[in-house]
Amino acid sequence: MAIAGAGQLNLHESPCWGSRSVDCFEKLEQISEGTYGQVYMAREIKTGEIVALKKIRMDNERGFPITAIREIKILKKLHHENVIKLKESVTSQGAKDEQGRPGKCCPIPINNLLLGATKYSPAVDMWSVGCIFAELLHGKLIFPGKDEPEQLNKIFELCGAPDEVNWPGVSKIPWYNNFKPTRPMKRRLREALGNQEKAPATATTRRKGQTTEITAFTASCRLPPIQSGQAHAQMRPGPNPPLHGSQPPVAAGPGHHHGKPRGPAGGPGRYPANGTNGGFNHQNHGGGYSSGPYPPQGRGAPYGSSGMPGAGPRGSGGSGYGVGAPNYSQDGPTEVLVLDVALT
Amino acid sequence: REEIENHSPSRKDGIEVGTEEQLRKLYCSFLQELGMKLKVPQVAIACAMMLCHRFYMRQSHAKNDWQTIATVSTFLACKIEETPRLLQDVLLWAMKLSITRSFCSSIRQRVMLIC
Repeated sequence: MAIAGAGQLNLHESPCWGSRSVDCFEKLEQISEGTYGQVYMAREIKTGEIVALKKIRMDNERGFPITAIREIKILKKLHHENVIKLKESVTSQGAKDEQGRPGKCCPIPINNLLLGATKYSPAVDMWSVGCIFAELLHGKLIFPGKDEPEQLNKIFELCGAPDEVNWPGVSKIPWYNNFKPTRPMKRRLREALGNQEKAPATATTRRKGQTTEITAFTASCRLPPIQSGQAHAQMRPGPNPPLHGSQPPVAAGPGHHHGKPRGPAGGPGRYPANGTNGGFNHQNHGGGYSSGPYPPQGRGAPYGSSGMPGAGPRGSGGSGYGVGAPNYSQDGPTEVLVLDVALT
Repeated sequence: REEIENHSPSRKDGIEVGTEEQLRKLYCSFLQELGMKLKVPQVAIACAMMLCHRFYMRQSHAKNDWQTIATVSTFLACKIEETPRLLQDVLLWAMKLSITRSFCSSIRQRVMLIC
């Protein structure tokens, strides 16, 4: 027999491996729903095993969503008792579902986009990381809202209400007016977390401070990619990952000084590329880290080479939202997503 | 490994080991060139090749046009390796390559039918 003609595909036989139909499972109830899709509790009809079934929303323009591919890739690599295990992928008519055996996972609704904002950016992941850190320190959910308005309110209570100062462009976000807090709220995150004397022993005061910063409302919502990228780089296992991991110099808003020693000011610029486009690059950064308490490993790399599209997006002002993450490419916050996936 | 080679789905459809090997070379060079045109890292190209190989471990060359599969593999591999390319770009280059290079499968098929 000759080889197949142009465009010929075997659509008649379903392959004998790998892709069972979603009909093998019986959906019991919906567990959660997010920007990514819906998660169901389901039972495998044949074995009676209870699994979590995640329905992946297909992106009609770009095919199978890259976020889902990332998730599958990462889940396949992760083997931890607290992280859900990817058991298999099943297909359904026009959609693909993914299924995992439930591990011990805590429900943390963290990766929500605020106020009807539609762009998913590294900033959102930074927000998630911040939330998780805060929760680890706190020992419980930090924004235990039952529904979205309530949760939003909790966020505002803790982080202060968003306004044009700490979140440029917020008034243009669709639902801002619906949820605009009636009274001005002050940021009291540091106080709230600082008082957590029962925080796990591993959480040093220093890290508390850093968590406060990472969860900075504006910053975490609007972290420009350069900072996300940096945080990401530092997330990589290094000689002292925890410190690095929680050390992004979130400086996107005024008044969010760490107040911690960071080595003498005026060290060799850590961000040579940014010297000229100012804007978001807070003076804080002036004090290079080079002579700080950390060894130089894992530095620098993310900057020089990695494509930092339109460095200094904050500097461009104006639209404010979304400018931060035009393409979620290259070294996107994959690691960040790990946490996201693992703990959500 | 030899056993897999001797029992591949293509074999069942009457495609010789040699022919399949040739096809493998063909789509790999196609993938390499396509990847280079799209300026994706070599890992993505290699990933696309792996996807293609794995596909033809399970599916027959007689029933699945390798150019389509190679194009699809490239698109997916780019995503896997975090260097996504627009579908239209992938398609455009794939088309250009198949037109400029004489190994367009439809032409081959016609040649084979004539012989």
